[in-house]
Amino acid sequence: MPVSREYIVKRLILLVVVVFGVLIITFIITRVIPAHPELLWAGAHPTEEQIEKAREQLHLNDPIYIQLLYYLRDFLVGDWGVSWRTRQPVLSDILSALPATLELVTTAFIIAIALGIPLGALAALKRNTWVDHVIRIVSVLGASVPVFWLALIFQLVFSSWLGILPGAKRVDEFIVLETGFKPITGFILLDSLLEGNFAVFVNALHHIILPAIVLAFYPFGLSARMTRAIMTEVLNELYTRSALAWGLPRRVVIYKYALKNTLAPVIASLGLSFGYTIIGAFMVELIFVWPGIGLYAAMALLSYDYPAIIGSIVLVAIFYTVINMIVDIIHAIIDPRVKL
Amino acid sequence: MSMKPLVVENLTIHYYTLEGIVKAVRGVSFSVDKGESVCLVGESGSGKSTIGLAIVGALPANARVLSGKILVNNVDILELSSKELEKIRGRSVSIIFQDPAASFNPLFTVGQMLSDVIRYKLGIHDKEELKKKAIEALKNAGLPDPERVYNSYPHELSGGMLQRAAIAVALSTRPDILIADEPTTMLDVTLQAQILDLLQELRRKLGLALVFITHNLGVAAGVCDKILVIYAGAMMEFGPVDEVLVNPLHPYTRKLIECVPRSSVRVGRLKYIPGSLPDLRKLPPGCVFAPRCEEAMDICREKEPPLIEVKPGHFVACHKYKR
Repeated sequence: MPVSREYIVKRLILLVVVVFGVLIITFIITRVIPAHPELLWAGAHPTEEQIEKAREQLHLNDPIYIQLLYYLRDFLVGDWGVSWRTRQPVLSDILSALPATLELVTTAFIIAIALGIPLGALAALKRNTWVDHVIRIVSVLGASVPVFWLALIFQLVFSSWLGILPGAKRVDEFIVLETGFKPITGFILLDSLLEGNFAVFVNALHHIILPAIVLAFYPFGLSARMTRAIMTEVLNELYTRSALAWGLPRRVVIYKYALKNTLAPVIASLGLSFGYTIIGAFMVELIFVWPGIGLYAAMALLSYDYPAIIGSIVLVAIFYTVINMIVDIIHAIIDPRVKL
Repeated sequence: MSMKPLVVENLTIHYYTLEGIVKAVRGVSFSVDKGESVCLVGESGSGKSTIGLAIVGALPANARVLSGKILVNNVDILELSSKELEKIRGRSVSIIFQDPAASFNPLFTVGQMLSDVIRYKLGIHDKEELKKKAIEALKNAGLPDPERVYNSYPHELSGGMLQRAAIAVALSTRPDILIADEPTTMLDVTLQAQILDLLQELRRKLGLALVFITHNLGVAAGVCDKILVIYAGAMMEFGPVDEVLVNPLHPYTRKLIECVPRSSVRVGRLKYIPGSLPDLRKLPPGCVFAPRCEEAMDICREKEPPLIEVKPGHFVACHKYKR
């Protein structure tokens, strides 16, 4: 492995710094906005007394640094505080919502990469032909159309008008109840396959198609464009021309050699795009009522659920950092010149 | 008459760029016999590398061959389909480049590249035999530790070792013709001599037809049997190396010879040729060298001089000489 222990340690320290930085910034932002979360906490038609009690319970009367210390205590003790909306520990809320988001984002990324990289490579090979132009237009659209608009349109067309695919939720409850499906890991597609529960698998697959395709648009456009640009460059490099001049067949030069040169930077850019995709997932989940982190965070935002908001954002920060570390490691494995 | 491995006839190549049509090569002809070496000598941008790339069928996409023939073992490669060309490359002609570090893919070991070339060109698929062949090729190129080079990535090797490795790759398929495109320009002087010696040795041993491209007449003198002096894509002078160097006819050749620095004599200032290559998109009428030529006459600026054989085997394109 071309990865040193120092690198891992350095990245873990960075992770801690990033998490606390994000945590503190988010905390301060939530506290300085003029909102009244105590009204929600106090219940329906509260009296003045109840409201004051709620403020006391949520430590909202304390100075902001004392509030921060309270929150840090909760965060470090391990439950990330109690959600003011669900009244459950934020960490357990997040962990139960996480598999849904991971399943959605992973599926979207698989779709994006499986289409984006081959099409980008094809565009580079067929440069300035109609094939290239079509792929370029589609990929520019993919990378620039707003995801919330796309989500609404897809839902409207495929679910409401055509009625061919479900436009909400991960799976239909009645099938889960009928077949006695019990999730193991929380990844419904995976669990249903493990249990051999084909009915649930097909149902879940139907549900994931629309949101995953919508979410895949941005990383698809990005990977197609990156692949095309880098592949074009690689094909012009001397090492590509020399491989051809030394007599290697064109298909070997392209699919074995040039593709590998192209993949390393494309994967790196996809790692960076992961952040945008998570943000995209927030909106897609809200629109498709997908019970993941995005929906959880959206609900938290709508109900001033501060601990849940901070928890969701910290989770995204952790994700982003870890994904980029993984991307770096993949890069080091592909490229022998990179030592981490 | 024995068949020459390489015959180039009246080759004309243009590049199509956004700034206009670049007339890179104009009516160049020469031939190379088995075991013979011909040097293409000229300044940077004179079109000599373009000729080399054309012979291996690896011209950039924006280049067009307007006229001429390139006969490799009596087959005109300009008439071949890309599939047929793929067969010729490496098998009949191969090439080594100026920058050995850039001619190896950074993500693959030298061994992977070399084995692939041997696999696809010689049709050897047995892994052990492939490796044996590859190691042997590296050893033949004078690499003292072929096993290490085989397992190394390009960035782990020096320029000299990489150029030897490139020679190993190019010759692993036993081509009849080798194009050496300024193979020593980017190397230290001591390494230059080693690589030149190696090329000479391999040429004799394998009976290679060698096309050696250089801007350095000193190097050419040591390597070649024949010299072809090119200026702005056109032939200036062509002949046996001793003839051309001892008895140069063209004013450009004479200037080039004057420019070779000699370490044995302190000549003071280094010589150079005033002016620069003409714009290859807008060539002047008449002789292309006339604007820089001290001996230019009126006719030189009006009419392009034809290539004439002044002595047997010694050709020059200059109005000073009559047939």
